[in-house]
Amino acid sequence: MKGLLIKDFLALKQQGKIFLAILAFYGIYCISFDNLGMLVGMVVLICVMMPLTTWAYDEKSRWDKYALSMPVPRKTVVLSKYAFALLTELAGMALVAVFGVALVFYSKEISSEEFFYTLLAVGGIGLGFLSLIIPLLFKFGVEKARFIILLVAFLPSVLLILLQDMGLQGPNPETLRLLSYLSPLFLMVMLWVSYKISLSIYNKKEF
Amino acid sequence: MENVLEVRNLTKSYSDFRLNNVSFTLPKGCIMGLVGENGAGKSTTLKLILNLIRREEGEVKIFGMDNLTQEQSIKEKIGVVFDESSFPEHMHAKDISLVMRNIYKTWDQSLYEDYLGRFALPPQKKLKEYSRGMKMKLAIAVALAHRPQLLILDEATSGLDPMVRDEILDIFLEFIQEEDNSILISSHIISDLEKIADYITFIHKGEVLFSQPKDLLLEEYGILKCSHEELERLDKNKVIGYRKNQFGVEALIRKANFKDQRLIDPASIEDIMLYYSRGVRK
Repeated sequence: MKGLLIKDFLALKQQGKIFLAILAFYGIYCISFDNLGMLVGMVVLICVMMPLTTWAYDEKSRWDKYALSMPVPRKTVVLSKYAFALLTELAGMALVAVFGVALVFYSKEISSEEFFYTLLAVGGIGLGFLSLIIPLLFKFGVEKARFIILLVAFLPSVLLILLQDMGLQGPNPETLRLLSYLSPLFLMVMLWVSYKISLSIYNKKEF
Repeated sequence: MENVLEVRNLTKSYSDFRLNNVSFTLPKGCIMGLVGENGAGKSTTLKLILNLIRREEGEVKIFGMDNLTQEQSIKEKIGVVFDESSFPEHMHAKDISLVMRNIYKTWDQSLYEDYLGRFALPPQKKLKEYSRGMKMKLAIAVALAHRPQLLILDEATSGLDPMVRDEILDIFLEFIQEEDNSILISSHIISDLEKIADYITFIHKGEVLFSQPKDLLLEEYGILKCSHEELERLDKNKVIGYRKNQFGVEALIRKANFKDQRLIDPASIEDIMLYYSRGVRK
């Protein structure tokens, strides 16, 4: 497991530099305009892109075939992908936290409450999204999954807009708050189901 | 003699290809060459041994252990090299040891560094700047550095120049000096196998045509030279394959069946393979 994680991080060396540059840019942007939103958006995006990139490298070098010829059970390969996603997600949250704290204490543009919710939202959205796309990546590979991921990303917003157009009212703030309290539980279930699905896909795969 | 690898009746079907009842045995301390044309089923066999694909029937035992139920303990003790580099291109040799150290319990860092030095592989250079030969040598260094007892090599020498191939073959011979070590190597470069293999297993259209000690094979088969008329008089069931040219016929035969014939040349493994796969035009 540790070996596989190290491999994923090392494989990203090249891309990592680009990611860091982007983050630095948005970090400066965030500080100078007192706007956490853009940085948060970027962090979520990058957290989703990183696993995708490792997948692309794995496929290109046929890593899975090789990994499975070593003392690495299939379960570990699947687990390591989730662990990698969680780790990048955590790193992303830590980054947002650093800038968020800076904004809360120095510019006082956002309240600590607002910051706290933003932080949780970053984690939540990222994890929710990852639990949807990781099984897709295992099933279809990067090439095909890419397009499906686009759909997964846009479908909810398109649906929301459509529903609003049809005159449907969104849930009231009370319900929303209740839902947000339940969301950690919901996320955990989602991740667990996602892992189980990925595992069963991967167990059937031939290399 | 103890067997390192026992393959029994392996069967696996694809829509356009079927590996049928493949069986062979690799005794400890030996090198077995798996030969056959492209698409004959060599890689499929190796993948089944490594449990990378699911078999329909059959059984594989490595070090006396079942390859499915004791998969992980077996894999601790084998080294595998595929025909292409399996590492992401941005990594370098030093990165790889960091990964492998955390995968194999028996990873020997100093042995790995020895191999890197010996193969003149720069540890800090990105893999994408390595030549094909260097990538292959790196893969072999990685496979050897956890001190495996069985090497499984899938076309590990193909696409390399003769010098590099020779260097690699020497390493295999060195590896086999340790009496517990064995090698299963698939290749379509027969001359390589002829140099190092003790056993030859010939797979043709998904079936094992023979699996024998190389020396016995060379002893058993011969190339009979005769005229076109003589060929007609021969018992066709005893001719494995033949090739006609303007001066006469060259036919692959078992020497035991033609004791009275004088004009029998020795057959190389390559001859045997070619006549078997091409020459069955009775």
